[in-house]
Amino acid sequence: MTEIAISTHSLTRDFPSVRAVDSLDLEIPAGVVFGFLGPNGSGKTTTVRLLLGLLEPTSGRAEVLGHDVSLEPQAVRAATGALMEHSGLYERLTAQENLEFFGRAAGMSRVDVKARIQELLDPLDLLERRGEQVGTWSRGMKQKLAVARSLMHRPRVVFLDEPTAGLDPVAAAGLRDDLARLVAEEGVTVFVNTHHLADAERLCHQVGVVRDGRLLAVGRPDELRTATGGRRLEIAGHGLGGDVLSAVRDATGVLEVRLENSRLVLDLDQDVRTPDIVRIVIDRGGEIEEVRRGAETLEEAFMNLLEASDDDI
Amino acid sequence: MISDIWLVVVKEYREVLLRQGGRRANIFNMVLIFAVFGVFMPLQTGEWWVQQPWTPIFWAWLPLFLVSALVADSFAGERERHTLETLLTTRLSDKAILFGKIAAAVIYGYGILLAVMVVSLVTINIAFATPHRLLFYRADVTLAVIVFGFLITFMVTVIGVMISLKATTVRQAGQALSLGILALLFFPGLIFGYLYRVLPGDVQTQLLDFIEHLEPGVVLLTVALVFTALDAIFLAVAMKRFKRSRLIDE
Repeated sequence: MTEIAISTHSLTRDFPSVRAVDSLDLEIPAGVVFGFLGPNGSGKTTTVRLLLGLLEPTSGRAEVLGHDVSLEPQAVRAATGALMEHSGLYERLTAQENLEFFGRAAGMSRVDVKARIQELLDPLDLLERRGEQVGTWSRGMKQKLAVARSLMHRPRVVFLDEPTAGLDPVAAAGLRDDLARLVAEEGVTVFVNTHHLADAERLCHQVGVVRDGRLLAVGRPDELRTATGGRRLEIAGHGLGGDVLSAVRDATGVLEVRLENSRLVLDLDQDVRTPDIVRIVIDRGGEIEEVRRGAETLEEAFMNLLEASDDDI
Repeated sequence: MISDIWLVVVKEYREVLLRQGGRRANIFNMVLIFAVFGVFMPLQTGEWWVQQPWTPIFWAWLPLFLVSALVADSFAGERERHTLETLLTTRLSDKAILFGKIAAAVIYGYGILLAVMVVSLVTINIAFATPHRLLFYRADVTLAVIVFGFLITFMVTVIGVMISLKATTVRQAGQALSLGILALLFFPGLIFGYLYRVLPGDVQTQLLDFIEHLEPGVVLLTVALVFTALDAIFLAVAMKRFKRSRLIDE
């Protein structure tokens, strides 16, 4: 049976003027990198605060590693690490002093802290600079250090709130790589809030899409792409114009078809089967190299979900 | 618990005292305090510095000004520098964080008060003592400074931390605390003076007579008990108000 690291049951949090989290139901297996995707103000940060026991739910409940976040918040915080919206580093302290403080605050021994600092900072290329005041560092370096801090006490679950926000593309890509490597090495469950779809695509085994505090969809990124872009079919290859294009256009259930850069892009009725379209293309002499059903990217799937939720309102 | 409190204390010293405004500026401030209160004022006052009762009692207020910057920064500073939320995500208990912030300021303010007392005693003896006669503070005054110095430092620190809990910036906390200290310094005297003036003449005479015949030891003990009770009340209020969920910006 799969161990569940994080679960929420009708988790709801109201603020005076807004419902930030609305009946959230989640089950995140241990060892998974879970991406919580949503536009700004969709309740992602509030969810993390609820899961860390920093805020009380208005109704519903949540468990992290079997601890109820309302009843045992300290046990939750002892077993988890967090990188919140801001890096949370003490800029007047050195990198080493920061990690020492948070390591000791997590109950680590001095010897363990020292060894762990070396273990974390060396692969991040920060070990030689551990004696420098953090305030003098670039934002990218601070975020790397903040990630190291969140993993300092070997937590079983780590919450990351927009870890690449505010970084330039190069620094963001670097941090994503470091994060992916550290997460794989440490084997932790990661709950990462982001509205950067590249982060989610690169890092996450599972994603949930949230808007206005409501969960719109949850699943693997490829599942989401298929589910949300199920009416779209792309066929790449040669000889797809002319006769092939006309035949496909006339096929039953094809709503629209166009040729884009040697690719046939079709909008289909939901019940049209992909093999039937492929057969038509081959029968008319088309050569197929690739067939893709569903949204092309997670970003497209995400936008489809948001548009669908707009239609529901 | 004690080690967690001490961890917060050390972090406060490293972050706020040693680095804020630069290490040199802080060393200069410290030297200035010792030069004025430990050397200059005793030399100006002479032997009276240790013999008359009021100078050391006046010192009991010195920590007010020493701790004000530290306590104003305690939570408002963390909030302003965006480190508060991360601190609250740690395993540290509410009490460890709160007591650590309070202890850092009390140890700093009270420690300097006692150190200045010792330095000024050394100054007085170097300047005015003879080989046959060393100079010491009066025992009752020394005891009063030790007791009231602590009680007043503790009270101002707890009040300051409570203000800092609510303040959004260090400046706002500092301004509110300054007003609070002024009120603490002047309100009791003003209120007593007002009440005294509105009393009938014969009651005024009786009151003065009563005060003149009060046993100093009893008065000091009573005041100390009142301060202790106030300290306990303020600490209880601070503990009640320190809630992680209240500290997170909504």
